[in-house]
Amino acid sequence: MARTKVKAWKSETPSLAGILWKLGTLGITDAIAVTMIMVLVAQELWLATAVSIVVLLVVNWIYLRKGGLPAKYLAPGVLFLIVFQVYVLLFSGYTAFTNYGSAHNGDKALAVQTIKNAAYRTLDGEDYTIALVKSDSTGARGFLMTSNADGQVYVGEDNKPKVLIPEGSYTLSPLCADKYDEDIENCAHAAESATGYTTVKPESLSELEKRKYSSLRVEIDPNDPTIGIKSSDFTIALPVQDTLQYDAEADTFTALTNDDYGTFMAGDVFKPASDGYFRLNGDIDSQKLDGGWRVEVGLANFEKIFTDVQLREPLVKVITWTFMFAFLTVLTTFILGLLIAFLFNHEKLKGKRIYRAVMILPYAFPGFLSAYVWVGLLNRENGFVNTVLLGQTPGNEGNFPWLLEENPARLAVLLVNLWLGFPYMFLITTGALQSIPSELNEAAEIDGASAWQNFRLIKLPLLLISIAPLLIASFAYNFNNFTIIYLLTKGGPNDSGITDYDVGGTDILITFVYKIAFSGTGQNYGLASAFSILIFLVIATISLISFRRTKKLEDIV
Amino acid sequence: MKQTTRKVVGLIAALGVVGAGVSIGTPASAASTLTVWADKGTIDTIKSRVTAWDNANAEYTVQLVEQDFGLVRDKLKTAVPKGQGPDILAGAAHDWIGNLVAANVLLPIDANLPNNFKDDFVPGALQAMKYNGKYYGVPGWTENIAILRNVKKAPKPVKSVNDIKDGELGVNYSATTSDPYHLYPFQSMFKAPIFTTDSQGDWTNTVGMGGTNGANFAKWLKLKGTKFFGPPANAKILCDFLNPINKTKKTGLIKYWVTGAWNINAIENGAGACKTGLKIGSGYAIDPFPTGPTGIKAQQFLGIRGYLMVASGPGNTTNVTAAVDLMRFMSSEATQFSLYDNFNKTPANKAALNRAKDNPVIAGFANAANTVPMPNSPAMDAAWTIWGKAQTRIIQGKEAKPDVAWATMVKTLQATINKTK
Repeated sequence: MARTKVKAWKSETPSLAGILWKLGTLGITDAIAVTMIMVLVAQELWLATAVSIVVLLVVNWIYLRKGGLPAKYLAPGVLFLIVFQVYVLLFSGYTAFTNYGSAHNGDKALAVQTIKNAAYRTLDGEDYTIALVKSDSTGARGFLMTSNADGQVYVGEDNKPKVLIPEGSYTLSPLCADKYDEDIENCAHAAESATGYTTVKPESLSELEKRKYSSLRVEIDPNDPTIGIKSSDFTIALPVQDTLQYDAEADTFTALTNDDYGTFMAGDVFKPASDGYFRLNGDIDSQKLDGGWRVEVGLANFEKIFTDVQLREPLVKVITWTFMFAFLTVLTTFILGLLIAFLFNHEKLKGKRIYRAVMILPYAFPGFLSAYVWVGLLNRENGFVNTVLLGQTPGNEGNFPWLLEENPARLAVLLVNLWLGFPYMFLITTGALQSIPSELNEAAEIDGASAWQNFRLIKLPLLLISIAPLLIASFAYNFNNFTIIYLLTKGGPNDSGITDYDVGGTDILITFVYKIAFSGTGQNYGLASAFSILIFLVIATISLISFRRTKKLEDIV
Repeated sequence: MKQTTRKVVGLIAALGVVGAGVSIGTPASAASTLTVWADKGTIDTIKSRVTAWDNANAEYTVQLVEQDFGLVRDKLKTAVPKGQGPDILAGAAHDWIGNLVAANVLLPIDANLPNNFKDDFVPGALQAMKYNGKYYGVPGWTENIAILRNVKKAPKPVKSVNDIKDGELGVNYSATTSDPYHLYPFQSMFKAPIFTTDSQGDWTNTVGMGGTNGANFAKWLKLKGTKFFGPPANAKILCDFLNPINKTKKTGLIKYWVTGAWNINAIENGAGACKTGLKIGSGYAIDPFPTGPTGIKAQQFLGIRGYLMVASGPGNTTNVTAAVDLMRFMSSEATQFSLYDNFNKTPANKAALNRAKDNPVIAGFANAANTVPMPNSPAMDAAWTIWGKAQTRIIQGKEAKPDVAWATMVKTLQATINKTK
């Protein structure tokens, strides 16, 4: 019956408004996509460009062809699923097998660039204020250099020694050589032009010309090509020495000189090592150059989780507490929710609706808000809980340390989570209770069951059938309940003994992983991703076992 | 249907042209823009001077982009590999440098600094911008801590730490990872420096706070405990420092406060619950640290907030000339004096500092300074957490054998540093 209907609808000619609407929407989508592709092309991101073009074509094909109705409904959802879920999952999964992190946060090209940028050192000797010039006779590029030490003026051309310009053959700039010296009368002035040379303004140069000027090297010592006077910013020139040379073909750095800090000696060759650094002879245990890149490290991150002595103690503690936290949260919220549901399910109770609405309020407020309010309420010195509910002296530092010591903080986290979580349990148990047929209740009463027996033997098993999967879901949710922990205690108080890892008393696995990945200074995305994979496995296993169990519950009926 | 398809193709083509116009327009104008990332406080401070440079250099436009101080480093590490980083990171703490260099995001500027420029700064300030022999930025202003004394409660500077009684000292440290920065003067009274120094006086990567000296400091920390250092994260230090002593209520007991210039505004004008401030001279004084239990002179860390040159990632060219020029402008005497004049920032520029010394606060902190530049290596980064944890646990009496705990900390820290080598 339904099938014929769909067929009939399909063969109908679409209305004009329908076509226009379709074209308009598709047109806007295409426009955005084409803009995106152009930007990607401009940034030379070819893979992303190719993927975008394919997606664009597929989307257009789906909506412009006849038929294929299901694809028209599913396409946007699937697309977003791929972008925001599948890709993210695959990327985290991949990251777990890399050393992605603070010191390995880019590709190799970036690392090579970094090393090249720092592959020089400045030498003692005169420095010069310079102007860029071109020889009128030969057309050679050069620096018009005014010594900052004695005011002598020279011209320096590429790979030639500097040549002194006699007084009278050059003109001094009316401005101070040091731009920020405001004493124009007494400051040193630098030459701005010389006879036989044309002064060139750096702003007017093309990128190519700029590069030629910045690679210009005025010779100091004819026997040593590594040293020379250079300028990278066209305002000053200094004697510098190249320390490392990159050979793009061999992919190696060769040291041209001894390093002041003992990192390398002249002649040392640095090759890419398997840990994402250029190391001496590519040997993983030897000296490295600063500047790492991201590489795949296989199972090293997982190995670290299981073998790092520093990590072991905090990890055991965190795992134990994570299970405790998730289990106790589900237990307490369920019990409280169930009790209240029973109470408000009583037929003779008046004003049930109002009570129920009030009970749902903690659930209706955004958790972010409530958590912050609770932080204030639980303040040691002046919080409402201590000063009013527990009657302690306001401002006293000896008051109950709710969030400041480990066990109180754990208690606080559980209590606040109970406050936030019981309305949910109350809601679902109320719903489940109402779905239990009242005949069962009456039958039990007629058979002489006490209220407790009625609850324990009839209502609870029936409730659990529908609620058990939700309890498991709640466990899985709280296992990763980042928000409540992070907003209440940030995982603290930090009292985990003397270890490298920043781990606190209420840290659950997910907040611990967050700290490894993002907080502090030594980010380690690889290790954090490896942890996330393990967390996923734990939750998946628990859920799987539990769902199997609940199936058995269903057999009771 | 065919006609519809043709229309669609035409429409797509037309929209594509519009899109092309938009995307091609953007990179061309970006060429002359200098982007500066800074936290809110820094932006407020440097805005007028940056605008002054901007007005004087018509060919460039400076864009100040606000970033969260705590998150800016992470953001930089993500942005630079994609070629989306700024040209300059302003208001950066100098101890970030080593970590940022290791993450490939900074560019050395040695070749852009003339010799005489290097004499423009107070000792240690430009060195703080140096890591592995390269300068990565220029200093903006300096920060150091001192003992602030409530003159009415303690008319004379305290000479020895032994003369400070329990409850008289206010020092910020937190329950989580302590605050080795504020506690360092006390540690230095035992000659237990964080790292050893080489022949040139530069910090090494060898932890220097182990051995007998470190053990003695640890024992002293436990001996003094929370009675001396106060409970952690004491939010009431300001009030207790400003208010007169009330023996029955046990408030206002703090006579000495270990803090820096960032709290001067609160002290002079009051803040929060304590509204009456104190004036320098008649109300409070800025003193050097007292000597240690055995008479050793204390040292503080010198902190530099500066301007760092950001690398642009492969394939992009940074506007080094303009960026260096702006950085030199920000480190010039005129700018640094202006930042002092308007925002009370202690100049790192020598000439500007001399002009600013009429100000009793600036003079007070300068006079109290017996500083060493805070290390800026990744090793220092690795140290903060574990070092602080050990201190807090010992102060709170959670370590029965403080010297053993201290030695464990030193050993663990050294192992971590060696691992990242």
